[in-house]
Amino acid sequence: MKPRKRSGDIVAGTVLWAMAATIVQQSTTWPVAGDVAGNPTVFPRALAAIMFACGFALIVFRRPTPEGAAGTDEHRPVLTLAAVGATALLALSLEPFGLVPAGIVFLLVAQRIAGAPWRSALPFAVGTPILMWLGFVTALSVPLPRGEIWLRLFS
Amino acid sequence: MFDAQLLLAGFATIASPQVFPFLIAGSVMGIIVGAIPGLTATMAIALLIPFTFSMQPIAGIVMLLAIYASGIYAGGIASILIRTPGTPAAAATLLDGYPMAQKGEAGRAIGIATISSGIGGLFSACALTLFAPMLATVALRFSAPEYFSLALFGLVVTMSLSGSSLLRGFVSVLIGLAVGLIGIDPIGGFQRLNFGYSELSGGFNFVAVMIGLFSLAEAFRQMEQIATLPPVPPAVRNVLPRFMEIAGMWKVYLRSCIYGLIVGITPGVGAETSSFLAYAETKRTSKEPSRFGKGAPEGVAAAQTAENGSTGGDLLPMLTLGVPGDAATAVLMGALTIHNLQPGPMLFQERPDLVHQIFAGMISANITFVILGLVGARLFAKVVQIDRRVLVPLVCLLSLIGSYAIDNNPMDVWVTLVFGVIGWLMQRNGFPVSPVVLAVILGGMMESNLRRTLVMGLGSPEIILHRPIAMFILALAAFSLFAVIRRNRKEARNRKSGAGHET
Repeated sequence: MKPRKRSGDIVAGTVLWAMAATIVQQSTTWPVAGDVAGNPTVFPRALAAIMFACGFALIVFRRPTPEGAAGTDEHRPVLTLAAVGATALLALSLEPFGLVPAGIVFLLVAQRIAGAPWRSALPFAVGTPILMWLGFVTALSVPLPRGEIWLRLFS
Repeated sequence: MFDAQLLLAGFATIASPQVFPFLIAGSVMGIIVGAIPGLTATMAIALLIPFTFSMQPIAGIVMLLAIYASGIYAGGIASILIRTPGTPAAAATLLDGYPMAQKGEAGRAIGIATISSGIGGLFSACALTLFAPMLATVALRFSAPEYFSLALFGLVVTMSLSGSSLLRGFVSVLIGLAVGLIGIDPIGGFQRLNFGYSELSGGFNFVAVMIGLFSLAEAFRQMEQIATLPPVPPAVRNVLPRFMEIAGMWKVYLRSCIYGLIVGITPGVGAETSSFLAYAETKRTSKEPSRFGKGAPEGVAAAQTAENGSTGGDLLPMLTLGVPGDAATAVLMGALTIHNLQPGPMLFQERPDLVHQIFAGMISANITFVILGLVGARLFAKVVQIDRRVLVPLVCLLSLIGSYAIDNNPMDVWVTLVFGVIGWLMQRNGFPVSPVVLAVILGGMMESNLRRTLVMGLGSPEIILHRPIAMFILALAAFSLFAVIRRNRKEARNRKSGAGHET
């Protein structure tokens, strides 16, 4: 099978170019040193030059499909995108609502996205954050989000 | 040489009520995590690092070491029972372990795997105890040119052995180096690439990046295939093998231990390389090579011994030089750093007691998982059937909670999420993730030591030519790169000629 250009390689090449351009632009704002030994731009600019070259190689040259890359019918990236969205909402709600309420809602939603039935999802979603709180906060004294809303309501 | 009195004191610390429960807990967690396909010891260590912050340093470190050692071993359980390696390193165990299970010898296979892992792990832990102090003494003579060369060697080997595409491995290294630039200039001390955000003034939190790339990215990747349920494993009976059977394989054990140790010492190369190497060599030197692949116990013994035989070797460069041997030891290095312990020769000078406690912890961890693995084999066999639809969301939750627990900083949660998405997209497009983490660690070491080298040489890098150890390491790096390019070209030619024959 002939190697073909992959959109992932083109995107990666473009990202490399963007990162390299950013490094070069930012390096113009750094303190200038009198000699190359102390010059802080040597390493970053050398890195940027190599990134430009690699970006070019990724975009221009064709390569065979790599091992381990997704692409079969069994892969459903829409599930992952939904999980990313749920995880982002979890990140937003951790501090305001705390580990236990945010964790319960997240686990319920994420397990349902994954296709777990209600009868196993519900007890696991409720029990796990509570056990985590008891284990990490109560037993090991690890500070975890308590929920600013509840602290304000009950203080 | 190691200090025998300090080592005995180390064992006494491990056996104390403050540390021993964490050794057991770590071994149990490591076996569970290693046995479940899709979860790895690296992921578990990355997730649990922040929670060890409130523990005594040695208790936390011993727990993580126990997860490391037992997680590597337990990957073989899923290989044997359901033909799916629990960890990448266990892929070689599958070749003869699964056929043994199909013949009704699942228990015997697990017993041989457990004892073999214990033998390999104990050998490498003892080698670590013997050689680490010697290497640390030599490393005291290292200066900026040597550390620059070591960092470059580690990066070259990591990128060249991380997948089938050298270019993609190189791109991953470049991304890691670029991420490592963010924060404070190591020599000048000024802010760079933080775009005015004070939250980035110290760069990204390394542990948050690791959790994102190793744990969350893997969870997102597994979500894509979540509908596939694992098959039902066979019954596990008669786990304890006969002593004469184990004793009869002494040559296999000796060879595999040595392969594991040598491969483990090489930076950037993991347990999967050592297990396949040992398996291939055992098959080649066997009087009946045709038995391999059909349920030969020697195949299981060779693979598992070499897997755990590489653990001590992986720890050796990390502890003595501050250069991680693979992704797992890179994460363990993060654990030491979070407890204000900087790996390297000075750790041996300033904290010899702690170093010997680590040696004792590693030896104890290898004994503990053998006992737990044999006694609890039937229970751990059921673990391979845990529903991933329940497990993967839990990993996502633990990832975010773990990154929050590092510094109680919500920014770290977002760093983990962003790098989780980046890691998922990278893996989806065939870009390996391990080189990114290793490059973040080694990039800083490489840059600061390159600039120090230039200062030493008054602006000229020629000073490296007058440093024999640095030149030797650079020559090794060049050789390994050349060997990989040659191998890739040979594989590309074989693929073309194979495609030509088909048409």
